[in-house]
Amino acid sequence: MSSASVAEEPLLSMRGITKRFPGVVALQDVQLSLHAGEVLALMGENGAGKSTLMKILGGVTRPDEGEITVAGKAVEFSNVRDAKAQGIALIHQELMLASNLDITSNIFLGNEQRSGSLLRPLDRRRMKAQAEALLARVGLELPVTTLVSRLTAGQQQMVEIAKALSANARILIMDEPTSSLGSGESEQLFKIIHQLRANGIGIIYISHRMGEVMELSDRITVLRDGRYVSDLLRADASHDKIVGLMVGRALSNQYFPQKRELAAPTTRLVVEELELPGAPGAVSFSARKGEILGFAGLIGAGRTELMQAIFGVTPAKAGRMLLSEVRYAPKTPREAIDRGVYLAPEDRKHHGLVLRMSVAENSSLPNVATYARFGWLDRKTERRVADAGVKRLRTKTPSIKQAVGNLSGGNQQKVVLAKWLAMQPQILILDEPTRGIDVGAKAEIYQHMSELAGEGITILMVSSDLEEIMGMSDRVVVMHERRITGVLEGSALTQLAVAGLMTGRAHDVDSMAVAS
Amino acid sequence: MRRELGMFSALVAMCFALWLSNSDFLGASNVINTTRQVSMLGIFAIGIAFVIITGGIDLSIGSMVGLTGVIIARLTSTSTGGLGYPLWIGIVTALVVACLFGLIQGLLITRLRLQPFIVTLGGMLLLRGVSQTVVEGGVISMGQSPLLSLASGGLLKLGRDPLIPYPFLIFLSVAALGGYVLHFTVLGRYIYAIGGSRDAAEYSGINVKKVETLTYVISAGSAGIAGICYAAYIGQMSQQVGVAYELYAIAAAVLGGCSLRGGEGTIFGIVIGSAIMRVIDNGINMFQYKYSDADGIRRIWRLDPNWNWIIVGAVILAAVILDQLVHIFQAARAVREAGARKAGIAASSSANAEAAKRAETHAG
Amino acid sequence: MNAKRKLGLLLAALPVLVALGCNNDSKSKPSAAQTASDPDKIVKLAFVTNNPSQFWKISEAGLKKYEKEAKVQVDMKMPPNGTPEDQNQILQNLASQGYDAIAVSVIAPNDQLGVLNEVAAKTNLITFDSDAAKSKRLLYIGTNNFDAGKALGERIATLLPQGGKIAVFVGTLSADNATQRLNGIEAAIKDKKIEIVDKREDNTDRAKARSNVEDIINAHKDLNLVVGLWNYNGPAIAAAIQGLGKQGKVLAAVFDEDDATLDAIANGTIAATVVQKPFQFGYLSAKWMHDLATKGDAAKKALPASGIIDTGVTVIDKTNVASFKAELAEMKKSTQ
Repeated sequence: MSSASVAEEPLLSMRGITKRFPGVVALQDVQLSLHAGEVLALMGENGAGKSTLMKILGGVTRPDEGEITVAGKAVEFSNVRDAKAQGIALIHQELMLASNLDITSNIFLGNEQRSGSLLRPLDRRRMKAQAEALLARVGLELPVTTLVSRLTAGQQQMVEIAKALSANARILIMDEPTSSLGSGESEQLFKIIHQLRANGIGIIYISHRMGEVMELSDRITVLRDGRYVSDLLRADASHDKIVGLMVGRALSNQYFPQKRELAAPTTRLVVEELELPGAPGAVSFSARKGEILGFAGLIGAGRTELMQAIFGVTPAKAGRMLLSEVRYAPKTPREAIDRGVYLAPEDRKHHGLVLRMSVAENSSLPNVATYARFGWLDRKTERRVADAGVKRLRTKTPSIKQAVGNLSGGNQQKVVLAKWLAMQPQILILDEPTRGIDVGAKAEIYQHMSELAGEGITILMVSSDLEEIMGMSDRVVVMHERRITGVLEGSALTQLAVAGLMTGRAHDVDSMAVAS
Repeated sequence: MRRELGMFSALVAMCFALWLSNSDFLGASNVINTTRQVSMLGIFAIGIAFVIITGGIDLSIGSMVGLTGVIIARLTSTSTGGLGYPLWIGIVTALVVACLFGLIQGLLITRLRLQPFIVTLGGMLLLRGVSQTVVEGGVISMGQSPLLSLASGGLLKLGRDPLIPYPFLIFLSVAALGGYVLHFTVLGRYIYAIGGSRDAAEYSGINVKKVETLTYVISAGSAGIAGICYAAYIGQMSQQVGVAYELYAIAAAVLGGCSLRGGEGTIFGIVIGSAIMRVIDNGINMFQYKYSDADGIRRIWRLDPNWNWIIVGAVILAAVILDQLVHIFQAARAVREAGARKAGIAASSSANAEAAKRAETHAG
Repeated sequence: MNAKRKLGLLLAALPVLVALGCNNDSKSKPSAAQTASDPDKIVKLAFVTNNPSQFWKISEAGLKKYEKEAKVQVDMKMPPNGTPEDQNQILQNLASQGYDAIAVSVIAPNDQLGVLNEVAAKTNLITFDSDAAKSKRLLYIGTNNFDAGKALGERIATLLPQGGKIAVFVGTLSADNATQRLNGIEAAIKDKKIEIVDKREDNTDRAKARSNVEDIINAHKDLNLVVGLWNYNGPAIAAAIQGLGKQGKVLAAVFDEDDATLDAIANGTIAATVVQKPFQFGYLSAKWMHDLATKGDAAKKALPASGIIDTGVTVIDKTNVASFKAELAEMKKSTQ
């Protein structure tokens, strides 16, 4: 569990790793070591080179320079299979499962049998039995014939881990494993990580959530701008110290912007007895002008569905909404947009942005028609608006002609915000606004949110990050199983209270792994 | 399997209705002829299914059906335009050409990352031109080639008709082999995985390029086998043989439950899909309605042959619409049930929410 | 991006280029009189068929014969897919290349009227095999398909002295030669107690051409005879009847002289086929094209008043198939 149990020879050692992409040096002389039975947290802002380093380790890309040794033996990986053969398993942030296949098939995908041709028959019985054993080991109580498309993100994560175990992985790399998990599921994951560590498996853990890192890791390696910065034992590490190393300057403790005093509260949105598809009851709440209203809850609590109803994606079955005291019942996103209600969805890459299109094209997408004259696109106006958005949000992009897919997560989120800001919103719905965004960019997004609220925009923020909920919200709506279990503000707004309402239990706070 | 069983029921109902309208529909002669038609389509529909399940498409197989027949006619026919080589040389050459061309297409798609639609569209036009060149713009009769007995002959005589026509035997072998590979081997598992998530397959260490290339070889090879059967059946080859056949094969695959997004479909489904396509064709010729007109004259009403495409198109649309409606209905019911089950844990309700979301994206 | 722009420019410039090309054509197109007076001028003649069938090999023999006699070249063009669009494209192409005379077997006379007249305005246009009487063509060489149909209809009447039921197979019924042939048959079998009980199209799908025959024979147990209107229908009918074992029970009467059709007549599967004189189509077309291109007004005066040269038909059956085949082989040999 600590350095005492660490063997003298590291299980894995990477030295002098350098990787260049056209025009960019992604990694420069990076080192990393991992011992059996150790959890190593790999920290760094997005673009620091964590993903590239892990892709090299997973055999997805090849380094230009540097050496890798596994258990003292120099190795070279030319593809994923080579890395697997060395017992290295990589669990990607975006889970890599074939959703049309069942759990067993996914666990053994690419590893059906030791050797032989492609035309050898599948040994279904053996694989099924082994899959059952593996699921028991990761604590997933589901039939092994369940289709992966029916699993929650957390359950899929467990399948990924079972898959790694089935390949006899000695080194397990987990990239942001909790980004799509609720806290209950995260807790289960941590339990399994502890178990694996006890079994002598080396784990490299990548996360932006400081609380998890502090709880789980034995050691922390920090990267910055493609270079190795430092190794810290957990005992020597603190939140501020790590962030300072990652950002390269001491970040002020004031991570979240100062809360604004709300002037005389004006109600902007009233939601009355809204019935969501499949929900047992109805939900009611109201939001004020210039307010950041947080929505806390577990995954599946119905927050996303509620937001989709407000944005007109899946209209509510019953109930009534008033926007600025006028009846509001959007049946399509277009109707919502016309009333000044905008949604920055949870899944930026699928619903928020067209990754292949440029920053300018994405910024103008919702109201491209207003930039058009007689059907011809007015590229000049489009560029002007996009430029303004980039300047205002300080988006880091080489040009507004850059494809959005090439930007970092934080900058992608800024493009989503810019897209809506160009249209003077009444209400801005942000679903998981900082998921997968690194610390520096997070602080910036928070700053922008605060400014927007200051301008009188009502922000509805759905977040699974309790720290973020507490730091940003003026008031918090807590949901559990598709019902609102409480609305907290002022002195009643405490982590304990929110966590209790989220889980439907009042006292279980252990599972809320949050920063001290 | 839901789609497959649904289409199977539809096929049975269709056959029953046709039998009611014309009892000759189930006469030995018509059953054997229709079986032969189903078989010849089914052979290359199974081939293209391998490509479709990986999420690809192969538009060149219709032209490939034509080209293999044309090669055989050119090399082996003893009539005008034929070179009179032994039959086996023609068959082997045709199959080698087919597999080689499939390999080239597969390599272009996987190594150069060209889009399958474009590569095989090019292949379709190119092969059609090659056929045209080989027959020199004309027709080559197969004459009295022994190959002709491939279409007319078969195992076990029933009166004078073969009970099991050779094309049916070939079709059964292709289906059995295809079913084994797709449903019981590692290769089949990889094909489904690539169609389900190319990234997941890649990151699981599967040699995606190799598997995908292989599917194009299988597709072209099966078209080659079908081409031999068509050459035997038609008895004279011109470059017009096989025009638009790739579309029938795709239609058969889709009717049988394949998704053009990849990852879905079964051999059983393809067999049913091929059967439906051909029974519709046959049914349009066989359907009759006997009635007496105002003057008491006994008359028979038949389907206008011009309706052929209308009926085929309508059946395909009806099948996918019905399937989607069932899908949406089931997802909605799952969500309702989850809502009613108050005590359900958060995890299960979120799974249902995802199912509902999926249904929406499907619908959209 | 740049490549796209370039392509866009190119596309935008295309109509201009085409227009320029057309202008050049019309300027460079010499009048018939000029042509006649210029001995070094190569006379460009084209013979455009309706599809790439081996039927046209015989016409080619006729062309070749005239080529040798007159020392002139005649280009043969076969629309690969047999569609009017294909043929239009070929015709327009030839006209814009300054061909001096074009002979064509028109696929869809009504639909192609515009293109035919456009071509006729630029050069000497004649038709063979399938006419477009409403167009401004100068001459039609061939048998009127109605008469050919009538000849087959009369043969059918003698094959079914007691009357009976027949079915008709064709690629597309609406095609002019199909309609004419069918009308001819119907005229000949009228009042002969012969009833056409079914008509099926295959849209040139050769496999369907056979399966249609199989299906219809199975659907009509009392069918006496099947008729194939297009050249490939003969072999398809022969294969279907042999496949079903209906030789002698279901008779067949077809058109044209495909190898497989003649084989089937020799072995008795098909009773008779009506053949036109495609050799004459080729020979006479070449001759008239050459005259029109080189002799100008003198040739135009020599045109028959009706605008039609009838080449007649021959009915081939078991009695004369052997000699016909030999004759045919001789003609084809000359094209090799």
